[in-house]
Amino acid sequence: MNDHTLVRAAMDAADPAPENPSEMAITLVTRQEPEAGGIEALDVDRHAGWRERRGARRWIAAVAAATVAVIAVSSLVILVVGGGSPERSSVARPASVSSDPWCQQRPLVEQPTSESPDSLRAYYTAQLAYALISAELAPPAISYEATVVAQDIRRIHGQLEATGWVDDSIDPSAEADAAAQAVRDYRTIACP
Amino acid sequence: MDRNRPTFDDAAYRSGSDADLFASLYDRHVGAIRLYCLRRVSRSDVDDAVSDVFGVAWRRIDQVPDDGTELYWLYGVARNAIRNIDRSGRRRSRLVARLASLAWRAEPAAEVQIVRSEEARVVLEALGSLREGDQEVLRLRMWEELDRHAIGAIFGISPAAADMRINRATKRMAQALRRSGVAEYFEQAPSMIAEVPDE
Repeated sequence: MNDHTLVRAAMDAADPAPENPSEMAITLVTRQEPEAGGIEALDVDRHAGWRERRGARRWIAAVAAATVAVIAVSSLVILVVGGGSPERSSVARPASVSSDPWCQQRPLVEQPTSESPDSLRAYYTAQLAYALISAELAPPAISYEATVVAQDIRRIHGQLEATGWVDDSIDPSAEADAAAQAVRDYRTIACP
Repeated sequence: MDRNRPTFDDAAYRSGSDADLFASLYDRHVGAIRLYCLRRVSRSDVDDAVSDVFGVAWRRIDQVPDDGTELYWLYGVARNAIRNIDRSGRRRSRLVARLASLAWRAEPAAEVQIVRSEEARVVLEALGSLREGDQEVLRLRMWEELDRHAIGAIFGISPAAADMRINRATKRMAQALRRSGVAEYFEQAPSMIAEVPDE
């Protein structure tokens, strides 16, 4: 087998967006305690094989059938494992959140001194730093403010673009979005 | 999330031709861009990546080439968008690590995840061992099925130079696959694979 054939076959097998999604392997996993290492795969269907570039209909049909079976089994297991757990109501919330000093803090960011790119850039940097710190450390009580700040950064980024300052290596808008997303993640994780 | 899709009000600030051009660009290429992103970021980030790409396209509609290479231009934008998402992903990882230190325990819950087969995982590890440039050349060649002219346009190099990069990347990937041992998996079932002559 020459290099091109080998690499093409391997890349086809690893294509995360194959033309036929049923060719993907499906594995049933259960989420474990975080300290136990995250998730544990039960490996219902480890080997879905790979697709030949424009053939292998037989394989595809077989994998599709296996996929349907796995989904059916998975649904059943979810019902058994996830449904009506008597310990569900005993999940402990972070006890110290409401007393965290961050709860008492408000956004404190210097306003830009002018519309110059340097001034706006400094303002943006401060805003972003606040949003990121808030996203990582803020308890849920002030995460809303952090989200608003992150949204504000996007507006500032628009001004930066208008004044001609755009750093190709960093997209401030994406950074701000990431900060907002981090806040949402925080809420999702810390406030079940 | 469609935050970067132009709203009606946004469109009012543009000329009708810009809006039409953007609509045409979106309709023709959103599928290809979505696949490009699916192959490079987690599924939960795909919508954000796609909207970022077309958000940039909307803001820079006057920079979109009109010589038939607009898809390659969009691929370039998508590449930058994915870099940003990678950065935010690392940030989220740090956040999760920090949260793990809290005195809070998650409730175990079952879920179904679509994961890659073991062979695919090894292949991706082999791909990841290559230089970023080689990785992207192979993705564009094998997944997006672009030819040397298109890849050359994306990288700003000649078709001949693109050809050389494709060949070099292919040889390095083949070596990585053989080192990992997964090559045998593909070589043992030759009937499944049409032999491709060396280009």
